[in-house]
Amino acid sequence: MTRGLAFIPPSSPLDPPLAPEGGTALLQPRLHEAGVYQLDGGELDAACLRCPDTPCARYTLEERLGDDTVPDRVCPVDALKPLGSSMTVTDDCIGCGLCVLRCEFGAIELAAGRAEVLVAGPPYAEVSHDDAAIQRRAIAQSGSRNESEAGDFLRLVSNALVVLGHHPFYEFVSSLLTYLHIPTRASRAGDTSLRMDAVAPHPLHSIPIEIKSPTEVAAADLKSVRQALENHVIMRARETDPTTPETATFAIGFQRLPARTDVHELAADIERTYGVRVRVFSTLWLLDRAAEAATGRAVLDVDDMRLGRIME
Amino acid sequence: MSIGSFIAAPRPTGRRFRQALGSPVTIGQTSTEDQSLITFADDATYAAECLRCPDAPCTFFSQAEQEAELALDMTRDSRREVCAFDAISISADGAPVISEERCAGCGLCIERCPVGAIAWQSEGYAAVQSTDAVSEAAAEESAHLADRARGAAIRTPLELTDQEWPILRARFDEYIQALNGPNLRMLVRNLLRGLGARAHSGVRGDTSDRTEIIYESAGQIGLGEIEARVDLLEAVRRVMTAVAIAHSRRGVERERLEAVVFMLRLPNRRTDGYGLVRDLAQVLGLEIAVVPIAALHVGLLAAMPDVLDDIVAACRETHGDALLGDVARAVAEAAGVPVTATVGSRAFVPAK
Repeated sequence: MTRGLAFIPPSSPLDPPLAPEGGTALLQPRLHEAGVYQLDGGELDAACLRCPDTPCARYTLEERLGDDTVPDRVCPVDALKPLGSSMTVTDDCIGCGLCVLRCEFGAIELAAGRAEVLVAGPPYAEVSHDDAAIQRRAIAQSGSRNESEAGDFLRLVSNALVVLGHHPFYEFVSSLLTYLHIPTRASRAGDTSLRMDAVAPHPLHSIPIEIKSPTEVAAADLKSVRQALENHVIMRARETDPTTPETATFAIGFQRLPARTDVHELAADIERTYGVRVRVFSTLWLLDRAAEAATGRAVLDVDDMRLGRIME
Repeated sequence: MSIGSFIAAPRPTGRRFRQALGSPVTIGQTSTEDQSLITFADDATYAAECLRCPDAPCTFFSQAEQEAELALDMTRDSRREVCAFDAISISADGAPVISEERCAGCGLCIERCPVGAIAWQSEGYAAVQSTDAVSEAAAEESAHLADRARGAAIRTPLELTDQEWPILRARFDEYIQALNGPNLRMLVRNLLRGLGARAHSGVRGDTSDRTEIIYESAGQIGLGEIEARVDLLEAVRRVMTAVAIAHSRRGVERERLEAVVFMLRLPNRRTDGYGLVRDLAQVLGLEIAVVPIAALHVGLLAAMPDVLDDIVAACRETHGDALLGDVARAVAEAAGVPVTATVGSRAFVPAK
């Protein structure tokens, strides 16, 4: 006796699974057959339910720790728009996969370098938003997440990100951090008054963030460590956001650091000499953490991240 | 070009003067009309002319200077040349020859000649006082004389006229613009040595604990980065990294470390770089001196002991494009040369 049974769409050859050939949806709940949820005896196609709060497209104010200076859009290029009874993806899509992570229904897939919203047949249109939200929560709480395709997903995302220029990449990393419960805003394009590329504002422990886009340099380098130190100094001296000497300052590159690098050693030198905690992360590592969170395996300890107790 | 043509060139009226205090030897380069003389305590005089010192200190640093140990060491530039402008060379007869076209008038060879046989010409370059052959008396005592002169020499301010200062300063400022990276590093190293510091220059690199300049003066260990453009910001980042590495990996106390950015030109005082310098002092207690290379030249012209520390201190407290005039004033006053005017950032004019 579940609500799910109330809106099982017809499952017939006339209503085939809507996942495109070769598409990858990371977060599809365990599927009874392709594109169909198995839920307490009921069945439901993976398809956009047009959740009223559109988590695929917007972070709530609560998720942003009540800070409305952090943008609410999930999509770095704002390519996810409502269209009729479902969401749709515009041509601006860069294939970064954040909306795929955010959709708890697994109703968004990555295919051919772009996100695609799975749209259901007519019965879905009759589902009330409230019912959909309840249903979504039930699925999320059931823990029935599919992680087998995480590798494919990360590979697709990685291929999409590697061509991004500075600003879209800054927006992506900022949204990814917000996803990980470290609400972050990227600096405005062309604003050079503050040199930090992004800031994770916080009432006590704001984190300045130096970002290196993959078109600039493959991974975080010594220069980005120096800039992260500089960002910390500027934030404290000019009091642009509240922070403390113990709060970490991030340098985020794209790829994982190569085995032979003195980036961590320099960060250790800086911490021993100035007491400043420069923490270096790769975007791919952060994506792994996001995939872990999405599949319910592990959640980053945000306080530890803020205070520099977590290193890649 | 014969050596004689240098002698024929007009010489400044001011003369380098060396006097030994508390020493049995008095060595002076006096401004008699025809030529300068070296006078010893026994009243023996020799013409202040090139003695062809076997080790040619005007041209090369000694092995000892080159191998001077520092508390903090690094991969060194092994070149021993005194002249970063490649203007001085030893001719076949053993006397140094200075190219008046290449000479920037930095004054290092003048400073290093034990017998005052090199002097500025009024156009701002240096020339060797040399006869075609060493005088018989000097030849006999050549090595001995050089040793006595060196042991007895003390440094006194160069006396220059109102007209000569701007010429010397302008020539140097113009010439250093054309130096390539390695030679600019060598110039800074040499000027620091001329100012009494033990200094070495290294190789710039982004992958290891390399610093462009390391020097020791008055117990302090200076870590210097050189910026040939006006990108002060990047140089400040490098030097704050250098301090962290010296402290963290080499165990040098932070209080002993002196962070310096040597700049070819000073940027506008409102640039980001100066903002970061101020923020670093406020937040991390890291004080960085932004030293125009020309200030080292001014210091060398003033030729007073410990003037390097005055320069660095002055540059730590003052920021901006008017700095060089301020530094020049501070250095000149420390050297006992009263200053009547500063001329832009290029020169200063001491009172007679």
